[in-house]
Amino acid sequence: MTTDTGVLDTVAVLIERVLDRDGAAAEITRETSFQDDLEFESIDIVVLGTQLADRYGAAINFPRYLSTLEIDDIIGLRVGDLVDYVESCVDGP
Amino acid sequence: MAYVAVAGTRLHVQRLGGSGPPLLLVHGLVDSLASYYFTLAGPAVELGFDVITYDLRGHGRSERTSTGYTIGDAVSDAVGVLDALGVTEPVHLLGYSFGGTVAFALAELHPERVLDVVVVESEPPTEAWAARTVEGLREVETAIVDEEYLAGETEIVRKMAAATRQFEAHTGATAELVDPRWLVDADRIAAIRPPVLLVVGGASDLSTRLDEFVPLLRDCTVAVIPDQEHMLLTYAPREVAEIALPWLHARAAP
Repeated sequence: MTTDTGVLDTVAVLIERVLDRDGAAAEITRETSFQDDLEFESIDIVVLGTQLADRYGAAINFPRYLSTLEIDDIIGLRVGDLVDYVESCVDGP
Repeated sequence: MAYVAVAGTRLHVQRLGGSGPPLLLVHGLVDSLASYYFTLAGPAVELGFDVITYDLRGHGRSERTSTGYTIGDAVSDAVGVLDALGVTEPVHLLGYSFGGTVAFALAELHPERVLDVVVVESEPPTEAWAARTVEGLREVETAIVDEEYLAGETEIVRKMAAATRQFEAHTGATAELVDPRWLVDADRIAAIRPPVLLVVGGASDLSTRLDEFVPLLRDCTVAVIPDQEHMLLTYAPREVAEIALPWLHARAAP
């Protein structure tokens, strides 16, 4: 479980970069909502997905992941959901 | 993040892999490439398409210039994106709403660049289309200040209203979209060569106007998704994928 904090920290830093908002990373937890708490636009998710792929490699396939979600899941997306997804990609055999 | 410069304007591009034939996805007004990234892009890559999508000028992460919003500019930008990526062979093309109108125009002006076209809730850029589109933008712009009007609307609609107001305030789009130089008449619609698949919502305004242009097209297949209105890719993305992707895939197969 040591990777848990690592991925969350990395995702938080990347979110801060996407939003271009200094200090944002410190406030981010698994429960942080992209829409309600961070006021993410959908295009910000795309940019975050690109940065995650740059950081973790081609195993991160955000378009495929997102196409499995319903619109309500996307609206309610939390940082923890992305952390779980990234871990499922990088924890492979 | 990938940016390309098209005629001096910075456009945000996403090329999402796939070693097969190129598929260019063009989004609608007051929208962004995210609409594809969240829906069709993943499944299209799975089918092997070299998926390319970009934020239109003034949208998403692309530069918001004050001018450059005629249909002709939109077509030049789309071709410019392909050129910047070195895609010289003809592409499969898919557009949603205004993006489909751009796709019609691209197919008419540059048939050598287009294999076939899927349009989702779109019509060719006629004078009537331009008038309706500008009227629609102005209606949404007015609605943003009317809390009563927005009271029953979803968060998505509220956000689009706010984005429309921003877009209107900072660009000359409403004046440029009606530029008659880039609008088409019946003869030009009849000259569109690439095959077209038109996907419409059974309850949309467009579904009541198909007679105005579908009979003019040389090769047009119409698919109706029952009960849906205009925002098909938002509210029925899987149904759109199930209709559009097999059609494209069958045509792309050797």
